[in-house]
Amino acid sequence: MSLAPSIAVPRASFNPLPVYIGLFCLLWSFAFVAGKIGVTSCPPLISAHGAFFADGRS
Amino acid sequence: MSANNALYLGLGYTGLQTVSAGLAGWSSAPIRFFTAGLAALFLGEQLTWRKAVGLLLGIAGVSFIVWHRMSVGTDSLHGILFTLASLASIRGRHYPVQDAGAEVQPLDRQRRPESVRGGIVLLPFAFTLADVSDIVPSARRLGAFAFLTLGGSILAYLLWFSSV
Repeated sequence: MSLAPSIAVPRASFNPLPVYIGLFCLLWSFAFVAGKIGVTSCPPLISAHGAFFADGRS
Repeated sequence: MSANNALYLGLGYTGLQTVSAGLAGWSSAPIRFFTAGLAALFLGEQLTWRKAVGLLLGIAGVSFIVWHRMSVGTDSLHGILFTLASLASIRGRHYPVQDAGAEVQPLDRQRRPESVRGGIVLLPFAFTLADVSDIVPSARRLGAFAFLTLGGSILAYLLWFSSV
């Protein structure tokens, strides 16, 4: 009896791209909400200035 | 590019004072349409009729929503104009970057210096046109600020450049 050589079956790999895209969309959308909260308690130009510096120094 | 960033956020936040967060988000959508349209015109990027129809539908949809919100009085024209001006400023950045064939640089070599320069550009305007005493510290405000820095900027940047 001859045995057929075993063939490696490629395993389906998880593609994280849709998760990345969904998470990016959520972050992008919530940034407008966070921005709105920010400008209700802080002048917009100071808000923007603070955001830049915090981001640049992080 | 730092001036574009500063204009985008400065004008956008000024507009957010008198428009809802939802409308500001909707209004930001046409930036992709205009970038795609102008890239076809000036950079020779392929624009099929399907893409063109999609772009026009997108612009029409956003225009319809903005028009409706203005007509029912929930958002002001003043704020919408600031939002659109902020979009024009950031769109003005995308085209020259693409045109110059600029390469995407590693995260910290691009994001951090640009952010600091954007902050420096805004500094004189922030402290002459706004009053520091108007800042009302609160946990809500701190949370929003933390989200914008950690989520809206750093994490979003990481996601974007790990996906492209």
